[in-house]
Amino acid sequence: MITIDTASAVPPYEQVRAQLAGQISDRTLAVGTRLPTVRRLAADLGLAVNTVARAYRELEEAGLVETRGRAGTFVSAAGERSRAAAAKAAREYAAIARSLGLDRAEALSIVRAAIG
Amino acid sequence: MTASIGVARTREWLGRNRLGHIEPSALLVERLAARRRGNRINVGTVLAFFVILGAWSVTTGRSGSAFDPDETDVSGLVFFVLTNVALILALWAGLWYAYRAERRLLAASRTRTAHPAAAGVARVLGRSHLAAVLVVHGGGLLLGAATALLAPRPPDRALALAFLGSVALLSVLSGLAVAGVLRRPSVAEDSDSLLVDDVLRTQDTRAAVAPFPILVALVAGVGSTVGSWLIWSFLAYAGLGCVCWAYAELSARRTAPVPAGIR
Repeated sequence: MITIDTASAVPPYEQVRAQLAGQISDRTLAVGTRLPTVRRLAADLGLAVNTVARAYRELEEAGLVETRGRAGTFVSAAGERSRAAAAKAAREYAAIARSLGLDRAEALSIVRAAIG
Repeated sequence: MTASIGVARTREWLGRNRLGHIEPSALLVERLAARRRGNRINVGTVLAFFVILGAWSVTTGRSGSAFDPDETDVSGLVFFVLTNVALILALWAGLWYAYRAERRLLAASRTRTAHPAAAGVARVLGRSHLAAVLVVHGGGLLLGAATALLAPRPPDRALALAFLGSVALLSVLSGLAVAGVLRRPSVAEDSDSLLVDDVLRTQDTRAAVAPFPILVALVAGVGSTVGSWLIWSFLAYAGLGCVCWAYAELSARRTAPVPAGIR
């Protein structure tokens, strides 16, 4: 479910993007799920077509969805692979941090600094 | 007083549709009131059609009945199909009114809710109803084509062709109505109203594909030459269609108010 609050300070495109990204990340939307068309979602949420198109474009740039021509926009398997690769890198980093004797807070602060 | 009647009717509707756990919101009360007005327009349109039809019959001296022995078989069938078309157009008029009222309600809403995944006609209609539609509409077209090709006598061929054309016309009108229902934007501000929206969309879709071709087949069977195999073809088709539709309706009552997969 996507809910848009027109009185919110968060721009509508960001509300759409964040909710879709969250549901893809927690697997509420499984890989291969077809998203509504831009026009359809815009009509459902009472938004401009360009607003929803921008949210979809940003999700596509993040690798979370892919557009298959006229077939529509689908939840991408690339996002799943990216998450798996990130989780593997995190496990490797955790192992190195432990071997170097870093405590949990210090290891996390290094990650935060690296992410920026 | 009027508001409490609206809330009571909304509660009754929710209970009837196995949604008794949902508390009636202002949006839902207004929405169902608009639906009731749409239904009244639907009934009014049908009544107006039959009044005009009656007046036409009286002034022209025609009975207009599909079962009139003085009528030719084909003209009786065509007349009956026109009645069916009028019923479908009346349904459209009622829905059009309700959808217009819903758009006005949405304009005043601060929050809007929608599904993040696309749902096609199979999901909205439900599998058993989709199968029944394929049997009734697809089977009707096949039966019409087969009888038109195989009927040995010209009057039977003409009746079969009229049946084929009638089913094709009703199928096209049903298809257009379904497309309109599926294109309608969601009217929801939270998860409860989205569930109600799904139920209404499913009900509208099922109303749009009402099995009119079965009635047309019965009228065509009555119009067939006595003793002809055409009668049995039309009756067998109507019987099969009735069984499929009854099964779809019964299975819909047993399962969740919204077909699986939408939510």
